[in-house]
Amino acid sequence: MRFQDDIYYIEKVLNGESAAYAFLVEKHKNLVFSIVLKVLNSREDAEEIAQDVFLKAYQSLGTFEKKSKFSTWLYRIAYNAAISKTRKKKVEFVSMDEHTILNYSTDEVTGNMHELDPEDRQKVLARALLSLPEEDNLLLTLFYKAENSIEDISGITGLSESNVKVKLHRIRKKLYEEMNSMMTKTNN
Amino acid sequence: MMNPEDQLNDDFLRRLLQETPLESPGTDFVSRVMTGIAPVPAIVPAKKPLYLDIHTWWPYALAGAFVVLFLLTSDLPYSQFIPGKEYFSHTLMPHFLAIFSGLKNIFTGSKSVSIPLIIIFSGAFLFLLDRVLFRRFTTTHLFFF
Repeated sequence: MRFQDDIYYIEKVLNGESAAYAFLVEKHKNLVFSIVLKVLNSREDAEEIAQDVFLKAYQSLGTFEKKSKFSTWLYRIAYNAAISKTRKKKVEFVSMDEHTILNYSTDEVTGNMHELDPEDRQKVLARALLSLPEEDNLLLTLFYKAENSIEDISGITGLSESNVKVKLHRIRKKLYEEMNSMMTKTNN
Repeated sequence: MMNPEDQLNDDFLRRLLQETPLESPGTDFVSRVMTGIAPVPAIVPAKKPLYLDIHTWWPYALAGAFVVLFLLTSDLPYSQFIPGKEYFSHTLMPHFLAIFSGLKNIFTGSKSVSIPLIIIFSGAFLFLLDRVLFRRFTTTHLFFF
């Protein structure tokens, strides 16, 4: 399904054509649901909260300032709703030890991963992702999967841009570490 | 050595993560949301005075420059507005009186015409005042009117 720009549907909804909102829901439902699911870790709760997110966004659509991206605005609502549900406090900034010496290179891990068949590669990745905290998973999803910019992620999560960068570095290293240790175990 | 920004642009990781699709909610998710919004009253864009929407300085500077330019280049005898109460009583007052007398004739001409006229006139006056002072003039507003 090909979609128009978000603003096209927003204008329609604001002009009384509420059915146009279905296109916005269809377009963004997967990422909203993924964001909420990463935080809540329960499909049932995530469905309920994601639904609330779209209702809340619909009711507040008149306050949406068209200068920013609708997706960032919507994902921020989703992120806040999920955080409120868990009553989790935002994870404090953990500084990364820039001098950590790794006993492997990312190229090495990448090469080893390429040798695996796609199914095994996905298994290794899935297990490595499971070992990461939900918030780390969420940042990976937003940056690598949904291809949001650092600026957008900062807008969604409320973290500063430099904090997002540092976190992504740390998570990326951790993920490679996990994938490396899993492949080493498998080889041994 | 790769700088930290380049390291984040990790194509391998991006492709690897994108091989698995995003999680998706139940198949009837969209219809459930749409059912949820059905009883909600129509959304009215937030009322906002125009000046709250202007966050930069240049529209004000431009408006100021325009006023100055207008005053400096205009042939209008705006300096005659200064004379005060004499100008008001001799020049403006007769016009006001003519307008009021005209309105009085309209409103007192016949009861069946004047009462609806007063209502329409007052309503239109208040509506225009509201639009001009506090809201943006958009096609939506015109349409609803």
